[in-house]
Amino acid sequence: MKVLLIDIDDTRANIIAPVFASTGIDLINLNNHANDLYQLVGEMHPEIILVDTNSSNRDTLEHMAQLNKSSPRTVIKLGNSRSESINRLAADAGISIYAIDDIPPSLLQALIDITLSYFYSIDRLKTEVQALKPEVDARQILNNAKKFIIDTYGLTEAQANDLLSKNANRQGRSMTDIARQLIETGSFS
Amino acid sequence: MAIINNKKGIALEKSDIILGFIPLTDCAPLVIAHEKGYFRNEGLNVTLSRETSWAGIRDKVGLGILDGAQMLASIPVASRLGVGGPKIDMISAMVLDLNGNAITVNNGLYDHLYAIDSRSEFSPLIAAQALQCVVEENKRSKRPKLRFGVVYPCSTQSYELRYWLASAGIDPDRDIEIVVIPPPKMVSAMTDGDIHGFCVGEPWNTLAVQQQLGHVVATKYQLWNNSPEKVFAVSESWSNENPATHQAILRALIKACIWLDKKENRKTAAKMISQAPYIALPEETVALSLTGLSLKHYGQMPEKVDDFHVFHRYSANFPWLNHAEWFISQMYRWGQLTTPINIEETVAAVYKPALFRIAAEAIGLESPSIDRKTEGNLHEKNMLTKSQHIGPNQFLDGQVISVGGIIKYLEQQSLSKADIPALRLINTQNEAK
Repeated sequence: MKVLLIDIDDTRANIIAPVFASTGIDLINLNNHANDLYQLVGEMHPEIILVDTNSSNRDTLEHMAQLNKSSPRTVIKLGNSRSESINRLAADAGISIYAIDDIPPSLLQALIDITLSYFYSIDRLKTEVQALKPEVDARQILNNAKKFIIDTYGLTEAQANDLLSKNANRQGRSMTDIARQLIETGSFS
Repeated sequence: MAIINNKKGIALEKSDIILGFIPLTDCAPLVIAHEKGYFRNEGLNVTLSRETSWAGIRDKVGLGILDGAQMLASIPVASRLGVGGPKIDMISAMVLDLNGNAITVNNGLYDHLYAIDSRSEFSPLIAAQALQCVVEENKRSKRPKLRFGVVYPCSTQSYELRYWLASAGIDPDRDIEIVVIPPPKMVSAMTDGDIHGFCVGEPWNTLAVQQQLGHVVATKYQLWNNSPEKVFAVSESWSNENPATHQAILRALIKACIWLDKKENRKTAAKMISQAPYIALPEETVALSLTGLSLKHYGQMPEKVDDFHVFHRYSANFPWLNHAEWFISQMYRWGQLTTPINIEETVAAVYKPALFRIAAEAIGLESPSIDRKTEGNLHEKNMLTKSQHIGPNQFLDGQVISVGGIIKYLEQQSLSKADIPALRLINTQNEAK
């Protein structure tokens, strides 16, 4: 089975490529092509085309579908039902899908779902990492401060923790705040 | 969902709205409604999204990624029928503008036409006949077909180019090659020698002439006076879920069209729409056609054509059902649509004059009381006083379409692929005797 990528940037193509390769799909990437799209698509006979939703080549693809009944055409519904996943593929991944008529909706659905799950997992990871960062940073500051106390005053870790906590309570500030100040100025107040 | 009240205290179902447009002179109503605060006054917080293809606009409206969009007047009709793309239940309650397109041919081809008949310079009919001679010459000497660009398969431009070619007996599907190129890429495709001519909306024809790449041989106005070009379209389900919001958008767009139609505002409009977020071309390029100057040949004085862009007068914003019928007739003529359908029912499902009337009445405007009108019976020269409600409506080939006479009209068209008996069978009760 032949799938053509048109105007899909490398970041996204690199996500899609391994997924499709592992299913045995022959994936051809046409990014920044300079040649005539009519000729390219005409010679390749792709069964599915994934194209950037905002690609300026889309109207040309529509024309090819109209000229030749065996060319891939825009899919915005699977079978008779509105597909949420096609919407998400366009809205979130910026990818529109064209397929020839004989591709069964179930196969298309599966391909879209797999593609989406890859986009989601990467995006979700990125979001989660971003959300974690302040917490990790705070933890690091606290650890640095405790190490400073241990090294400077020869206290145990529990005692260092106690000292930071008591100062934080007395000044009505957070332990991270006190820790940051200690590292930056060498003083508790 | 938050319910937001606008000034008039009407609850909107939705106030954050995203509307799509394509960088063309006739994206003006959306830009002006935004820039002049007509949307804001209706309690709408509108984001305008610059789109790169008509297929993209169509699908995003269908999928609900865009709330609504500027669209070629033929797209909602084609989408409803699933012609040249997926089937999407789109509706349009308002036309944004009339005219505004032109056919440009490159210098080489123009010189050829001019050598055959120098009247090609000003007559679209003669230019088409000269082109027919070129086509015959090419056939005899086994040269490759001429290539013409249009912006979308089921576009107003495609039907206009085909109309012009067919007027001289050129079969657009056999004698030349038609390719699809989005408007902003059209001029560079001519520069690269990929195409010999194109039919596109402004400012891209003016730009091609200014860059000395080609000559304008016909304008949309000359092909069919005051014919519909862009509409504001939404999906039917969106309209059903957001009726008040839809009305608020229509009111704002009508006000923008009224403002745009005033001669004295056209320069300001050119300045606004030529900006980077919209068309992103020099103001002088956009201003020419917008101020009623049709530049056809480089180095010559542009012709004064007041109606080059019409945004409001001549009941321009009214979604005439017979205009949708004309698009269907051309889909049959060129074999894009082959299944016989009930034309009257189809157009009434897509174009929504009743919704337009509500919006117009709310801002104190009168609307036509009929949904269909005759086309081709009013010539520029016969208009005694320039009426604000009705304008010239001549076709290049002088044909007339009476109300209910669309099949009769189609029957008279040359090169047609329409199955008239099959169409008659389904539309029999509706046809004018």
